[in-house]
Amino acid sequence: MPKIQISEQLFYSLLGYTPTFTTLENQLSCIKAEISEPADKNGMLTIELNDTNRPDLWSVAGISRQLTTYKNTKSLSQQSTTPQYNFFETNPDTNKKIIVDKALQTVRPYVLAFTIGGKKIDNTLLLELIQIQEKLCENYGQHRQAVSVGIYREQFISWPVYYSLADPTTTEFVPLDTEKTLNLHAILETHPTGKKYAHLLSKFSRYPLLQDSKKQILSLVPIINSAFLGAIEIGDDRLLIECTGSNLEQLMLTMNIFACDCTDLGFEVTRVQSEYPYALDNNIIASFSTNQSTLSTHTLLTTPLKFQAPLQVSLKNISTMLGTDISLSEIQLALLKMGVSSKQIPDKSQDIGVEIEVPPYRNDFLHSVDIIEDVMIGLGLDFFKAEYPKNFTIGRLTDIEYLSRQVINIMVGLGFQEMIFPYLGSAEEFIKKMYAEKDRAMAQEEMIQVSNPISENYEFVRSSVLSNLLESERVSAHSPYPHRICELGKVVIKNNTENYGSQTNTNMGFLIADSTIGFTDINSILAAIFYYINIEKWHLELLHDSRFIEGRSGKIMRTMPKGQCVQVGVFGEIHPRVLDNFNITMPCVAGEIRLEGLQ
Amino acid sequence: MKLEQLTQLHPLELRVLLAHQKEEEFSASTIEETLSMVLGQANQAISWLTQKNLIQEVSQNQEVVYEITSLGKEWKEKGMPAERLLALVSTKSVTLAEAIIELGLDKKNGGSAFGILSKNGKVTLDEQKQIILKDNSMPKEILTCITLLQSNKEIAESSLSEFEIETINLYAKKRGVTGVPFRKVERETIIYTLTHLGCECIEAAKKLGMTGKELGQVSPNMLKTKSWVEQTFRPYNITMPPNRVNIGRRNPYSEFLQQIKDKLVSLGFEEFDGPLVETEFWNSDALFMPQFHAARNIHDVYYIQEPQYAKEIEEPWLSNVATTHENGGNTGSRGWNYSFDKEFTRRLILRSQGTVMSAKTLTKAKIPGKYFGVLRVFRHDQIDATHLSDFYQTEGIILGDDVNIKTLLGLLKVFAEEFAHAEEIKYVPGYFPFTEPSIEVHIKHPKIGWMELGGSGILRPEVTKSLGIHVPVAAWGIGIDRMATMQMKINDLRDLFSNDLEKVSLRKRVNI
Repeated sequence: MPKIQISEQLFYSLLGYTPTFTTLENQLSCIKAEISEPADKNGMLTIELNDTNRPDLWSVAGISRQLTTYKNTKSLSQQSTTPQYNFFETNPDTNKKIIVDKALQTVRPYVLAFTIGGKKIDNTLLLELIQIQEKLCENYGQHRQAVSVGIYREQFISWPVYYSLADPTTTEFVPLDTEKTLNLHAILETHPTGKKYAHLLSKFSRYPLLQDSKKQILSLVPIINSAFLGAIEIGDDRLLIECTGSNLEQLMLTMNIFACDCTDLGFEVTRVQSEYPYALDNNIIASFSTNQSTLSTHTLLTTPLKFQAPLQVSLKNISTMLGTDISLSEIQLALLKMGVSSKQIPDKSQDIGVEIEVPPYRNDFLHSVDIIEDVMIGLGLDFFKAEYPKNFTIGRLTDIEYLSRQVINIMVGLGFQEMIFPYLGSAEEFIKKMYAEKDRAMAQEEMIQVSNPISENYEFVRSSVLSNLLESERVSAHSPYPHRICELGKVVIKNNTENYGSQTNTNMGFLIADSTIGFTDINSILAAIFYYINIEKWHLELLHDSRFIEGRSGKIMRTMPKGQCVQVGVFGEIHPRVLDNFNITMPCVAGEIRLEGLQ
Repeated sequence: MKLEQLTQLHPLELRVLLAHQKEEEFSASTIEETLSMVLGQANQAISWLTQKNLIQEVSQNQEVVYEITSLGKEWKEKGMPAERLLALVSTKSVTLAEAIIELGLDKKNGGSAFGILSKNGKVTLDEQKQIILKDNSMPKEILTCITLLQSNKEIAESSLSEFEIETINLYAKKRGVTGVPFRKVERETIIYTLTHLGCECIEAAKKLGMTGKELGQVSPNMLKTKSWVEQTFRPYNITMPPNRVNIGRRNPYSEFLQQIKDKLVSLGFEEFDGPLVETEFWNSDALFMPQFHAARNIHDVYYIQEPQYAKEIEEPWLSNVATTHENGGNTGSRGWNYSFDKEFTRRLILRSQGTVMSAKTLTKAKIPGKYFGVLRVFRHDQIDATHLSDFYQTEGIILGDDVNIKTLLGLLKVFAEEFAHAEEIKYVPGYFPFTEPSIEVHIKHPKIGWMELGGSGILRPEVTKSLGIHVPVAAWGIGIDRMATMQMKINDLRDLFSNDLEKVSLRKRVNI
């Protein structure tokens, strides 16, 4: 969920009014955004955006655009409230071109760009542009993997700009935040930003570079800008904004969002052409074939560009999903409030429907249901009356839940306090403290290990409840004895015959700590459990398990209805070595039963 | 004197009070004697009565008493050593050493017996060390001693004559010394009289006919012998603070989870459950979250070290989902327009959302149908007061032709009323990657104001159609942990899973 910080002053000037905090809170809910407190002492508001498919809302301009459209649209005749961005229809400046080298096709194939001017950059605008860039790269662009955006001082650039691969040893420039000239290797190895993103280039021997016709370097893509062309200063009035990546659709949307935001912030946008010596993504080309020209040897692409295809939905589908009949004009007005203009069409089955024109800064209409949601929000949730679901269904718990409750009731009757423990733990707790050294490797082999743990304290999924019970006993010595505790929960053990290589079991573990407690006590407990759960055919076999004292512990064997014997648990006196490992000075007996084995 | 206070007197207290009159002096030892109590009971009664200001201390007496030791009791039986020596030498001629052996005395007592007889001129030694009898009458101090040994209880020094005191001190030592017939004890005796309140109390008790012989605990013997007939039972102080009892008990948090489950069952929902280890396919892909989705990277889910991949993903679900991601398949969607990774989708992880089971349930769901799960899920978060590595999520689905926005609101309303007893509810648009449209329900809490209770939405056709379902499906989730912590008055989520027995066993019940 991206969070953005925006200038209250800029926000309200774009909105054209000053809302109260409560009004703002309510208005933001219709764009799935939240604000938790008024502006801070620097006049900045923090807003959290929940819809990850609407990157157009991750800026002050985007939020203002949506809120004012929603608020000011009162009737269908008022088409002009839908934001218009005329630069999409303008011709590119043919002098401004980015020429792409063929070698980029297998590295980072696309670069798109536009320029802005007509207004001097001030501090607020600079912060805003950097925030738009950052949110689009980090959140929408998956930390620059899919999309990275660069901003440059256009007044110093000699067109055309070249996008090519460079030798990392011989190519050098001064990157942002240093004064030293470094070669590309050194940037990735020593510069903080270089180190952070070095993995994006690790599999390539030559690195993507943007430079102008005078060989001035703009940036090492997608790592860092040059300290001269790429360090925007207050007062600059012409900027180049480009993005690179491998998913053309994501890049097109990124440019459209950024250009629309710049327009809203008062800049003039000029489209830029990029020239490729290879064909572009076919899926995308289909939707904007009129805007690109294929020459014999290369393809020209001009951006920003309206690339979205129109989408349709039938009135019937809208009414069904919204649970209420809604007229065409109500639907069109609701959509218009969301900034979406539409026209009436007969749909495929000759029912009435609407076709929407997708706003250039949005690409979240994958399916007709996405239009229906905009209709719903446009109408407002107050429009709908809550109704209880009507279908009759029978409620029930799982079989294992019914059994679990019976077992827990018996344990409570036997004087046990039920506990609930976390399922993740450490090798120390689950293995080292529990098993004799010779058995540890085998125990670990049975356990599910996490390959990317937060810390070694949460590295294993438990395969037994026993270590949790002992850990609990370790911290509970101040509670009056005897201690009788139990837990009923899940454990996971490896099992090669399973599709997932493991199985999840429901285990009931129990432990008694007392100064005079031994095998006979827990044996009686076990007999009581089996008696009341109504299992008659079971017996004990000697257990060889270093967690218990040999000869005072057993395997619990159940004879199944078909005659086969199945181990359903273990129990006995906990070995003093184990107690010592947990710093427990009270004798303990414990056991564990697999509930699936009792069904 | 209040009746209540009177009835709270122990029988021992009552007996002591009733045995005395105004200004009469008494002590523990006089009570012991006159009321035939053991000394411990007498002291206990005095202690209680003093605390209640019913009797008061008037003076303290230093007193010396003599107790008869086990040796004294032996001498009483067999005779004093001097007595026995005199008897022996009356019958035969022996040396002192022979006499000591024959009488079974120790050297010291034998020697001093001879000394006493010799000093009083009763015996003497001849040249061969044979004891010669001169006079067989008993010396006065031996006779006195024999008389004192006949006493059945301790002997107060105040009751003895000067000569007796002199004599007994020859045979008495202080505590801890053996080999003597008397032990000399210095004792402080405290003298009490009734207070004014004590006298009032006696009057009141007499009026009520209380005797101090009221019955105590009901015993099997009492029932067998019917000794309770026509007796009264001593009333107890029922306001006394009780002792703590440690009992076997459900964990309040799991009891709370059980209530949630029962409530959902009462609303017609059927429970689902599944493995903790899952695949990327069911955890995210089947929910139409693109494999390049921002929330799907190494920092968001726990990957399993070994084995890394499931053997297979069931068909036709794998092909359906893959096609839907790539181009929408037959779901009416345009898809995510990327190449679906069929190896990555088999990657094993710890399930990160309960919705994984909603997706799996779709493949075998009844229509109409309602399903739910209270499921443990794992999050790749730093653990602190508001984040746990594994915790419970409550969510489910509703399949049926009556699923639409209005019934979605109705469902959320039922949840708000049934789970949170909410009186004020508001709905706002929500966002979940797998539902469209989506709605959140917020409830007004009397103290903390508006809070999100849960969310719901209609599963995207990309999800349902890929899994063979062709009716609308509502998916919903409710934030139960927030409710649990509020009910249990805890501020730290980790306390829900506390392993501290004392903390857990003292925690009180909670109700949804």
